[in-house]
Amino acid sequence: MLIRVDRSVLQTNDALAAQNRSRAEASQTTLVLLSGTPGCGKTTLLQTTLAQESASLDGIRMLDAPTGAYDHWTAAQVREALDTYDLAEIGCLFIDDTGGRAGAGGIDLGEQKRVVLVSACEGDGAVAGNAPLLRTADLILITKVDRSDPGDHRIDRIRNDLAKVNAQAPVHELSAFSGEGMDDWLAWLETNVVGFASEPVCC
Amino acid sequence: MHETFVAHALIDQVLIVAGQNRLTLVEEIEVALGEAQQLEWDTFEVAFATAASGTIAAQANLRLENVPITARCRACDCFFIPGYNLYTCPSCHRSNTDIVAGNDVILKTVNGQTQE
Repeated sequence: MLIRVDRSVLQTNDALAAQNRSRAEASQTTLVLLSGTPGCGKTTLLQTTLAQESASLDGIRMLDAPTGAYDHWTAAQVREALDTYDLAEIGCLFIDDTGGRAGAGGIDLGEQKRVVLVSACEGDGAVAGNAPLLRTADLILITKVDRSDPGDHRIDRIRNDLAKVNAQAPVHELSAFSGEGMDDWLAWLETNVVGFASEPVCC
Repeated sequence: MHETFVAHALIDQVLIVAGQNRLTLVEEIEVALGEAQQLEWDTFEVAFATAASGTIAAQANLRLENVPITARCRACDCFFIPGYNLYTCPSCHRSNTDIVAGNDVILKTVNGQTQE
């Protein structure tokens, strides 16, 4: 028996993502996804961000277990994580994606803002290799700029490549280690992420 | 791995379809893989075999079809295939696009046997 289906296998994930988004919106919580290749500095950026906002680091949770099989979050895992919080108490919840190809084009987790990081230490193929994800970013951060040699113009090349992939998203340069550019990042959060100034939480 | 996630999502859908149609054995599954998912086919086949193990689809032949990325320029409505993941419109040279094909994983057909 031949059965024609023609159905997305990601539809269950997408339905759960829509539920996550609705749930966050109902609680006036903004879900912010930080994504990018391994080593681009997502976790360090989050820790520095929360420290600068004088938030308690005790509130940060790094949920390794759900990502063990897939190397990225799924909407179902985010739903489970949301169950562990009283969202009415949280204005902004960061989702620290765990690297890999981050779901390639970036599967929907229910986030309202998607921030994608590119390390200034990555090679010249960094943007093209991660283009499907970068294309969907609301904000792009070029990280680790303190480790980039100004003489090799790598950041200029990254910016040039980004312009060919996503010309709409603003691009900020920063170093969570030196603090360079952090003010611009925090200003973007305060402007674009409702509830950021209250109690950001990371999962 | 993303391949593992998609493989589990696929087998979930296959088993739902098989159950709805009272299949007792799944012999062949046809899937369209969008290029934007960046799945490695060899890895995906292994991941699917693992996910399908112990189910009525364990021995199923997996037929994969590649779906190239097609982009639509929001500015000038031009449709184009991005070159090496660079999404600049060849017509107006802007990078403001939607992906209109090649961004999904579609279960196209399931072929199998019923008990009758």
